[in-house]
Amino acid sequence: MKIPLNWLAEYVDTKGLTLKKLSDGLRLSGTENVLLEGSSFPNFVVGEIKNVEKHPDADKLQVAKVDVGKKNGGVLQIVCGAPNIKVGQKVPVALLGAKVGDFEIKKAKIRGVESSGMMCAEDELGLGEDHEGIMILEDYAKVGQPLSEYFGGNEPVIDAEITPNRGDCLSVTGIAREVAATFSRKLKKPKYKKVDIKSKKKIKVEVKDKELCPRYIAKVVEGVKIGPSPKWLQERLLAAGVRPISNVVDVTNYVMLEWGQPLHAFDARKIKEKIVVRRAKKGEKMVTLDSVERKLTPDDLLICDSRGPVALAGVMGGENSEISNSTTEVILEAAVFDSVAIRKTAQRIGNRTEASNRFEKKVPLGLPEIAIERAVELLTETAGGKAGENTDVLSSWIWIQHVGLRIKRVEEVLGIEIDKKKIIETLTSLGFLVEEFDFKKEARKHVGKPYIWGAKFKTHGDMAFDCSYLTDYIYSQIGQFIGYVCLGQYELGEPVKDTELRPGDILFLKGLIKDSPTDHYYIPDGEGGYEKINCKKKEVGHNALYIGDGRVIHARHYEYDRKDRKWRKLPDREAKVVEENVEVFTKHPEYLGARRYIESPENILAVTAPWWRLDVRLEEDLIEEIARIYGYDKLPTTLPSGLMPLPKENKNLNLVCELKTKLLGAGYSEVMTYSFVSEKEIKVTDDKDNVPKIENPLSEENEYMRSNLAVSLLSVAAKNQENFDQIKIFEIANVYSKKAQELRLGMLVKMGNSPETLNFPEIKGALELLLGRLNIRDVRVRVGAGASYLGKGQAAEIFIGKENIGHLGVFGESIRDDFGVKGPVAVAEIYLEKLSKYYGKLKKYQPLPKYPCSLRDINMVFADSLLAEEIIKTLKKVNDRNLSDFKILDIYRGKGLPEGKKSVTIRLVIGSSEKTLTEEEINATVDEVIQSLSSLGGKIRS
Amino acid sequence: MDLKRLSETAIDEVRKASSAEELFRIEKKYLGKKGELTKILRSLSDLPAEKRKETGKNANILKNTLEGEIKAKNEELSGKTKGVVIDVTAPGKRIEYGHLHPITQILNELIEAGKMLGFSVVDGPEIETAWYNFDALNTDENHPSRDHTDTFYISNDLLLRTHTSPVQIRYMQENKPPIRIFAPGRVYRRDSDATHTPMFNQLEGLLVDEEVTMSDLKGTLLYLVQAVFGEEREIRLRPHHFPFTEPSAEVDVSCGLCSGKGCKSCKGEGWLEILGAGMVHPNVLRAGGIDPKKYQGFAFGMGIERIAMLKYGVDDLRAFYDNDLRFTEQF
Repeated sequence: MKIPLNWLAEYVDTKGLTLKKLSDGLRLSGTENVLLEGSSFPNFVVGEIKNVEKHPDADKLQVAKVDVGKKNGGVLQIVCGAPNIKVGQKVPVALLGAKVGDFEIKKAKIRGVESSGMMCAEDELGLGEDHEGIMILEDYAKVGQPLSEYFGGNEPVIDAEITPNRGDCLSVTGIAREVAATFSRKLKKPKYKKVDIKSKKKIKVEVKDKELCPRYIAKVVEGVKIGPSPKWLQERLLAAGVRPISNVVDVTNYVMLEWGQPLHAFDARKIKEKIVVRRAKKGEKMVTLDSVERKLTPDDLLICDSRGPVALAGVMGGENSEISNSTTEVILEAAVFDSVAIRKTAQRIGNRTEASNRFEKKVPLGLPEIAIERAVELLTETAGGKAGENTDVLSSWIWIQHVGLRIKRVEEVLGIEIDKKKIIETLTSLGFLVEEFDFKKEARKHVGKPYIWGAKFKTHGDMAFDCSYLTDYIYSQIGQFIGYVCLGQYELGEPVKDTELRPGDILFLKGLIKDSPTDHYYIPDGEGGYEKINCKKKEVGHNALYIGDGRVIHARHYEYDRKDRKWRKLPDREAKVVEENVEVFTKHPEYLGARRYIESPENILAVTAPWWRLDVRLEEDLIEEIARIYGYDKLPTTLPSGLMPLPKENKNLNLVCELKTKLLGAGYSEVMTYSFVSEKEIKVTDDKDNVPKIENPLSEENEYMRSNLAVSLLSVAAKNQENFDQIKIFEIANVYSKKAQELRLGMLVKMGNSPETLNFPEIKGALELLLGRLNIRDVRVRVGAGASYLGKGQAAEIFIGKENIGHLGVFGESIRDDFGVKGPVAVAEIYLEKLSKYYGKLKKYQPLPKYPCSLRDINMVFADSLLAEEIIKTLKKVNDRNLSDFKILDIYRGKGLPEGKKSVTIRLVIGSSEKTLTEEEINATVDEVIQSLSSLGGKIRS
Repeated sequence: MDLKRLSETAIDEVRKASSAEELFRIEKKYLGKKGELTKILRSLSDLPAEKRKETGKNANILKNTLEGEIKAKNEELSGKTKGVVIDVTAPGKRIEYGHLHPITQILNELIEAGKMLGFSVVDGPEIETAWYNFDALNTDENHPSRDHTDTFYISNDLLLRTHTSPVQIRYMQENKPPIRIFAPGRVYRRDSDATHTPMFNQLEGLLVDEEVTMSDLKGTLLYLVQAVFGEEREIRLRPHHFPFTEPSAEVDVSCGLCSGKGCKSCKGEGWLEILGAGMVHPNVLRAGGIDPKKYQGFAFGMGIERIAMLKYGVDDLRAFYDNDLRFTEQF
C-alpha cells in the first residue's frame, strides 16, 4: 500500500525523521517497504495537444503535436493510436528516455512518420487497468509540469508491503500507529468532527446472513452535488496510486486508504425501499460496475434492494446503483464482511480489489462507525448535502481480547532481559492497555457488586457476577481459561494444600446444587465452539478466590446454617461480592479443597489488545510485539545451550552421499529434473493409472508424478546432445506410485559412437565400480525385461541374492526417436531403499599372499550365443585350490573367427598360500580350467 | 688435497668423461681401493676427534654424490636416456570427473555445518496430507496458501508438500526432545516464472528443548550462513508473519559485493533475503505431541536455490532445472 508522507504526518509526528530513517525503521519493526522518493514518474510531463491529424499511411493512427513546455523540447510530434485525443486536452507524455514498463521511449519512425515520445493511458502509468484511451488530465495541470508534481506535488511515498495478519496496517492511520511505536512518537488525534444529523432520511437494512455480515452501517446523504474532488484530495489519491473519479467515489476511496475501511456509495434513488444483505441464489446474475455480467453462486454475498442485487458485497458495486453525474442522494455503506467469503468471491470472478483485499485481511467490527463519520464529514465538505442517521445492524459480539504476559517469559523466549517498564511502554505505544496484574487489586474492584445467578460477560460485563463467573472473569483479564462453572474450575486446576495457599488459588465448597450439572462441563474447542468434558459425578457448587493475607473474595447469594446444616438464601441486598476470612471456606464442613491455575501470581501483566488488533491472541503474540519494537537486531547471538541429542543415523542419506562421490569419480554429472512429467513421458512406461495425478497441474508438462527416472534423463540427453558428444549423467530422486515414494538412482550414458555395444558396457562398468566400492557383494546381472523403455535383448536386471535391486539396458529405438535422441543410450535405475539394506557392511582385511601369484591369459572360442554368465559360473566351479581369481578381459567377434563364434580372453590368477608354485603346477591349473570350459563347447584359440 | 677441491675436480671430471673407459678410470681414481676419496675415508681414524666427525660427514656426502654422477653419466654414455623433449605446455590427459549439481553442493555445506551443532538429517514424504502440510502447522483451513491456485493437489486431502515443515510434525510425533533436525528435500508450489519454479529444494531446521531462545536461533543462523558464505558475512532479522512461528522473522544476509553498503546487486539495500525463521508456535508443538508449557523451540526454512543463486551469482532460477550441462559443468 502506498502511503504519501504528508498524509501520514497528519496522524503521527514525523518531525526530524528523514525518509531513509523512516523507511529503514519501519522495515526493522515489521513493515516491509520501499521508499518512492518524489519523482515516481521520471521523464514524464504534462503536455497539451495542439494539433491532431490523420496519419498519412495508417487508418488507425493519428499524428499529434503536443506542447510539453520549452525546457522539455517545446512542441513534439507524437504518433498515437488512441482514438480519444482532441486538441486542447492535457495529457501525460513520456519523453525520450522515459520507461513505460520495461520499454524505453526512443525516437522512432512509425509508418514513416517521426514520433518523439508517447502519450500514456492509465495502465501505462501504473494507475489502474484502463487501456481504453489516453489519460486526460484535469484543467489545472500545467504544460511542462513534471507528471509526479501534478500527481501530488512530488510527494514522497512509502510503498508498504503488509503481512496478511496485519490488515490494520492497510491504512494511513495503521502505518501511523506503527511509526509512533517504532520511533516513540506521538500519535496525533484524528482531526475530523462529527457531522450533525440534518436529514430525516434513513434506509432500512435487513441482514439475512449474519455470519457473512456481522455489521452493516448505512447512512443516507441527500442533496449532494457530484463533481470533481478538490485538488488536494485528488493529489493524495494519485500519490497513493488511486485514480480520482468524482467527489463521492473519491471520498469513499480516501477514507478506505486513511482508515482501512472499504466503503461503498450507492445512488439512493436507484435503491428501492431497503437494503438486504443475503447470499446469492443459485444461477442468479448481476452486472457489476465494470459492465461485466457475473454469474453468482450461493457462496457469494450480495447487497440487494427489494428487487435484486445492487452490489457484490465487499468486491464491487453493481452497475444499476452506480453513482453518476446526476446523483443527488447517496447511501454510504460501511460494513464488515466475512474474510473467507470475500476472498473466494473475488478470486472466483478474478477481480481482487482494494476493498476485497482489506476484507480478506479482516476488518475489525469497531471500524465502520469511525469510517462512516469520517466519510460523511468529507462528503458534505466536498459534495455538500445533509446527512441522515446511521442504520447500524451489529449482529456479533465485539470481542475484547485479554492476554496475560508473564514478564519472565519475555526473557525465556527472546534470550535477553527486557525491563518491565520498557515492556509496558512498548505495548502501550502499540495501543495495548497494560496493567500490572494483582489478584487482590483486581478482585477488590468488584467487592459490593450484586450477585446474579448466570451472569456472564455478554449480558452483565463487570457489573454483576455469580461465583464462578467472578473467578472466570478475573482470570480472563490475563487470558487464562480456568473453566466456566465451579465443577470445571475444580477439575481443571491443580490441587493445592490449605497451608500453601497463595493469591490466585480458588477454594471450593459443595454448596447448593440446583440446576448445575454434576458429571460434565465445557471448555472452548479453539474454533469458537465448546467441547463437552465428562467427569465422575461430583457436586461443586460454590467457590472463592484467595487474595492473600488469609482473605478470600467470593460472590455469594446463599448462607450456610451450621446448626441445621442447610443453605439459606440471602436477601437481595446481601447477595453480592464480599471479602471474608479464608476460614469461612477452609473450616467449612462442605469444603472440597483448593486449586491452582498458574505457575506464579507475581509479575504478570494483564494486557488488553486494541480493537484493531485482531491478530493478537496469545502471550507469544505479545512477545513478538515487544521484540519487534525493541529490535531483533538488539538480540544477542548465542548458540543453543542444551544437550546435543545423539546423532540419528540416516542410512539412505549416507548411501546417497557416498554414491554421489563415487559417481563423480566415474565421470557422471548430477542433474535435477522435475518430479512431475507429461502424459507423453508417463506413457512410455504405461504408468498413467499407477501414479498420482495432479488435479490442478500448471500445464500438461507436469500432470503426473513420475514412476521412473530414466525417461526424465532421456529428455536431458535430448536437450544436451547438440553440445556434447559424450553425456554421462545421474540423478538421485524419488519416484512415485499411488501408495508410496521410492528413492532411486538413475544413470544415463550416451557416447558419441559405439553402435556395436550400444554403451551397455559403459554403464554396466560404472555400476560394477559403484557397487564394488560400496562393498556390496554377490551382485548378479541377469537377463530380464527390466523396464518397458528398454530395447528387446538389451535389458537386464540386477540382483543381490534373490532381491532385484535395479535394472539396466539400452533405450528402445522407437522411444529414442520419440524423444529425438540420436544414437544409442544406455540407462540404469537402482532402487536405493532396497540397496541400502546391503550397504554399510564393514570391509574386512584379507592377508596378502605370501608367495607370488602367476598370471596366465587364455583365449577360448565359444558359440556367440553362450552367455558370459555361463562361463563365469563354470569358472567358479573349477575345482582347483590354486586358482585364486579370474577375470574376463575381452570378448571378440569378427575377423579371423567363424560366423557365430566369439573369442573370450580370460586372465587366470594362480597361486598358493603355502608355497611358490612350479611351472608344472601352474600348467596343471590352466589345463583344469580349459578342461572345464570345454564342457561349454570352448576351444583354445590357436 | 682438501675435500672441497677434491669434490669440484672429481665431479667436473665425471661430467666431462667422453667414454665408458674414461669414466671407469675416473671412478677408480677416486672410489677405487686406492682411490683418493677412499684414502680420505680410511684415514679418518687418524684425525683428531673434533675434526673426524665433520670430515667423515662431508666425505660420505661426496661419495654419494660422486656415485650418483657416475651412474647418470654411465646411463648417458650407454644411450639409456635419449633426452626426449616434452611439450610441457600441451594439455594434460583429460581425466573424467563428474560435476555435482550446485543445489547438492549448497545442501552438503549446510548439512556439514549443521552436524557440528548436533543437527541430524531426516526425511519425509513429498506427497503429504493436508493435515501435516497445513493444519498441524497452525495454518487456518481458509488460509490462501491452501488454494488450488497455490498448491498442487492429488486429491482433496493429498497434496505435494509446499514446504519441508511437515517433517517437523512427523519427527516430533516420533521423538522426544531434545530435538535437533535438518530436513532437506523437494517442495512444490503452483508458480512458474523468472523467480519461481514449480519445484524447488528447501532445508528445514528444527530445534526443540526446554531452554532455547530467539537469540539461539540468531546465533545458529549466523553460524550456518557464515559456513556457506564466509565469515565476513552478517545476518539481519526482520519481523515477519508465518502461521507456524511466533515471533517470526525473515532473515537477510549482508550483500557480498558491497558488504552491506548498498549496491546494484542488492538493489541498494545492502541485504539479501535468504530464509524465514521463528520460534515454534505452541499449536505446532501441540500438533507434534509436545507440551508447549515445558518445551519450546525454533525452526527455519531456507530455499536452497536462492542461496545458490547468491553464492554463485546465478541470475535465473530456472537454470537449476534446465539441466543444460554447460551450466552444470561450471560447478
